[in-house]
Amino acid sequence: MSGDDLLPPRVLVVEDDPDHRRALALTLHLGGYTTSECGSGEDALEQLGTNIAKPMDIDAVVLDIRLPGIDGVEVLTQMRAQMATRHVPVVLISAHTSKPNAVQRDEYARFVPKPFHPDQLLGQLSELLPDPPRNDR
Amino acid sequence: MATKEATVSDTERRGAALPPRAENPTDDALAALADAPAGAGAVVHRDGDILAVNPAFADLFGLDDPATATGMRVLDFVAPEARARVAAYITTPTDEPVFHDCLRLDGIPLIVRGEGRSVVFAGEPARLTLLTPVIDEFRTADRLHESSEFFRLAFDHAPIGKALVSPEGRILHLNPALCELMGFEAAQMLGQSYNALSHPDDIDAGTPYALGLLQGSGDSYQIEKRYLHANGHVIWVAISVSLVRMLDGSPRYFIAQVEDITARRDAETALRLETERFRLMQTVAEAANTAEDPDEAYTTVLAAVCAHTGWPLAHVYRRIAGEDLLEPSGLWHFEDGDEEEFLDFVVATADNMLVSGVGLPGLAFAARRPTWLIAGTLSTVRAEAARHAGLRGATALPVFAHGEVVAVLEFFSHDADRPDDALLELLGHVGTQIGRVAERAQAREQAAALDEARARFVAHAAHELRTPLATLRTVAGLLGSRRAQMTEAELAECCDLLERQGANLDALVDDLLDLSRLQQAERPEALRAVAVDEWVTRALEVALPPAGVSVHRVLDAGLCVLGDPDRLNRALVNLLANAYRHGGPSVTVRAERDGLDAIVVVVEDDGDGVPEDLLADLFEPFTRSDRSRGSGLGLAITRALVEQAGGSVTYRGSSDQGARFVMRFEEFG
Repeated sequence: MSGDDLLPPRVLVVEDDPDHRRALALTLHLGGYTTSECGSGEDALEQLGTNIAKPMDIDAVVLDIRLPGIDGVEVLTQMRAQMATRHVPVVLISAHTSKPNAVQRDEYARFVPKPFHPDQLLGQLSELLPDPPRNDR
Repeated sequence: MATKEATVSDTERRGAALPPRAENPTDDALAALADAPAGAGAVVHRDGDILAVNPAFADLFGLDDPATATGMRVLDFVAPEARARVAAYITTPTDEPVFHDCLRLDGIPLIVRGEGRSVVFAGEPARLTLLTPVIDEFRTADRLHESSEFFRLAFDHAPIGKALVSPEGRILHLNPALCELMGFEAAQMLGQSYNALSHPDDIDAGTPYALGLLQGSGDSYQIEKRYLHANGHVIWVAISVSLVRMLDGSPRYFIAQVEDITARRDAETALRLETERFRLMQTVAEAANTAEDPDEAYTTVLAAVCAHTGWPLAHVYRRIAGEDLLEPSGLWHFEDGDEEEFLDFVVATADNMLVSGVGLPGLAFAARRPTWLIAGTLSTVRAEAARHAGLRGATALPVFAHGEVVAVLEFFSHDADRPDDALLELLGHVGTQIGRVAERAQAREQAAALDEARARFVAHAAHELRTPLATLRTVAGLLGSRRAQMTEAELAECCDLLERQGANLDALVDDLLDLSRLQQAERPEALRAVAVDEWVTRALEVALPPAGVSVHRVLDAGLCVLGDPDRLNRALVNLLANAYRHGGPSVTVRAERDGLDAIVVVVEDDGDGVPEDLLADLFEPFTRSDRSRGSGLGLAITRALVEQAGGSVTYRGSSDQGARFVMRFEEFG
């Protein structure tokens, strides 16, 4: 996405708790992003799969680690195994405080432990994106 | 031979009354015989035949007529064990006095002092032997009569056994006390070898000392040894033996004093045994108190019991927790260090699992007490190997922890002697004592498991608390820094989120406190009669089915359980809520009798049932399916409620038939 493009970056929010998913979406909207939302790893991979055809559709992922079915770490692993998504920035969030190994070695991934202030999430996200939104909404 | 025959007839002729002094001046034998100063005398041919004896000799040896002695052999009057010595004496005479063990014709032994000299009889050289009875002294009315009589009385009436024994070891005289001690009549013992009184293993115990006395070293000795009573039982005796000598110092006879010390020896043996057993129990108690783990204690006990009993081999079977199954351990004790000897048996044991009642360890396990049997009698794999290893006896003792068998220690012996009751009882104590190590190990494991469970619970609880907190903090952060940018709708959504997550947090904390209280609470002392239909009605008033779900009641009439009504109600409400949340459109509450005195209350639904992977920990806190929005505490709380109300709850559902929770209670009335 180029800075000249007026479309704000799109973030996929993957979180099974609907209330927290809404709070995350709200945070991102107020931070100048547009969002897609889903509640499971399987759904996330499906949405990201469409990314192969339209690679620029999703610019970043906010990914909860504890998910029903395929968990967040597995989603990240599968994303990195595909050319189209191997450099898509990911912010992993979890109520477990320890940073997963998958994040340590991945320069396009960050970890933010729950609970967090919205600015923490927005800060990490803007560092990962080459061209973050210049202004809050 | 002709000469000898002539001699005999000559003697016969003159035997009854001694002939006048020698017809032949050189033939001095008969004259000497008649003059014998000490009384008894015999003329003996150098080949050992008796040529003539005088009436005193006949009297001494119990012959009716002196003539009957003629033609007999000297050795006929000599005790068997003295014959060799006397024979040598006949061949090579000496002028020194000698002592002989003799036997009267009626079998009564006597000791005589013999003095010989060369004479001529019927023109041939012969020996004249003058005999002085030694023992008979005190029976004769000689000048020592009074002191002899005194001696005899003291001897015969002594409270301890006494015997006069010839230097060759033959019983010459004995008193009633010794007869009573041995259980024989005097006549049975007289003339017998004194050693015949002994226990076979102790026959020669005194011989070296007796020989020492005969050879002149000292006058007496004391030993303790075993005799064998007439009826076969062992008698322990303290024997004091003195050698009485002649004036010239030569041995005359032994006086043996025999005291029955069986009671003392038994007491000493008992005390020694008691001391050894005490030491064993000390070793066991120390191991029980200090051993870090059961194996360490078992190893100590195997060695201590083998050392105490002399058993050569011991081994441990461990119980598989919660099952009536024993598995062989690698813990063996070889008392003599000889592992090679038992290698086949060890190999036969290696994979030999035993169920209760099978094999020696299985029998001890089932009997719950030390058990003995003859090794190799069972039809097990190991029996054959035991026989080959020469193991004939086997003893097993169960080890108890909190009343449960946790291991069986087995010991093997080369003999087939059953351990006495006292030892088996002792081994029973060993099993209980050493079980304390297992109890401590169990307690440590339980404490560790409890600690781990607490830590897990706290970590789970923290995680569960973070979930609503995450939303609260995010939303609060947005309201703090970006409120001005928010639309009305966004503000309203924020309030909504705060409200809902606040309520979630509240419910979660309530559940946590509930569970904590229930887990710590004592079971109510007084359970009451609760009518099942009223209970179900009350619960359904609280847990109203949501739209699209219908509840069916299938209740047998008149059912009444013993429980706590409030807790029962909450438990059923929880199960109903669970069924509404996870089940299908139809939920059934069923109540019926189960067996003689139990009632089951069942909540069934027609959903997919509990996922397989949750079943193991279904009633543990924070167990919930991925798609469940609950805290995961509901079933843990339900179980605590049911147990507090005096019942139990289990899951009996399947993916085909839906979930099925079964509460079971004691029936009232």
